[in-house]
Amino acid sequence: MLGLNNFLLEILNMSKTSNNARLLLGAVVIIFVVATLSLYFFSISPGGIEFGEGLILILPLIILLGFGIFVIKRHKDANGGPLEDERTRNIMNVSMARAYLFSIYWLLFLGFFSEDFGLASLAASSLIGVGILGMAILFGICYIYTSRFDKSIEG
Amino acid sequence: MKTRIKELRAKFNLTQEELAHKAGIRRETVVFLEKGKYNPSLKLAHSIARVFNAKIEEVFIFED
Repeated sequence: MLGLNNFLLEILNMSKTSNNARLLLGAVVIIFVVATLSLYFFSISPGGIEFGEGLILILPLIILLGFGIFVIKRHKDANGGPLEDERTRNIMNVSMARAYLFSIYWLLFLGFFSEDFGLASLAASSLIGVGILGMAILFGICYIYTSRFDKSIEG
Repeated sequence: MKTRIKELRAKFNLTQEELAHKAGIRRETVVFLEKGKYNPSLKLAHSIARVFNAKIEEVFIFED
């Protein structure tokens, strides 16, 4: 328990540096994302959550878990240098460009095939939510691919 | 492109963390550079060469 307290205190003290301010900012954004997704999934089924919707509820938990792993990794790698450098900036730029390209096709797909997949019955705001969620997932996939497998990234 | 970063790091008795700190980059970037999986910009190559008091071409070996 004392270890957990120290860990939390260290995270709170992180705001002294820009690196740690970024981590804190990231945590706030993640909390908002998870809260919004959770509220959204609860709001679409006020009469109780069915099995399929329950599976979708796992998504916010996966996001939270992913961020937890990231924070712990950074905590262990305290001497690992800045959070961002030339390589990570290039990876981010390439990932964003790729995600943007794929997002166009994703949105076209939603536009053309929403009726075939039963998405046309959703409210416009929900359909926009599905579109944005798909774009976020596409960015995540592009980021992982670019950072782990793409050897063509150059400074 | 090949690099002599690992060899020079051993010569100067530097860890990956220490080199990353001196060059102002992440430790992961040092790992990728040593494996030849990342081609640095001229600015980064210069920063790393300066840590070893060497010329860029002494640290990075360009192949045709």
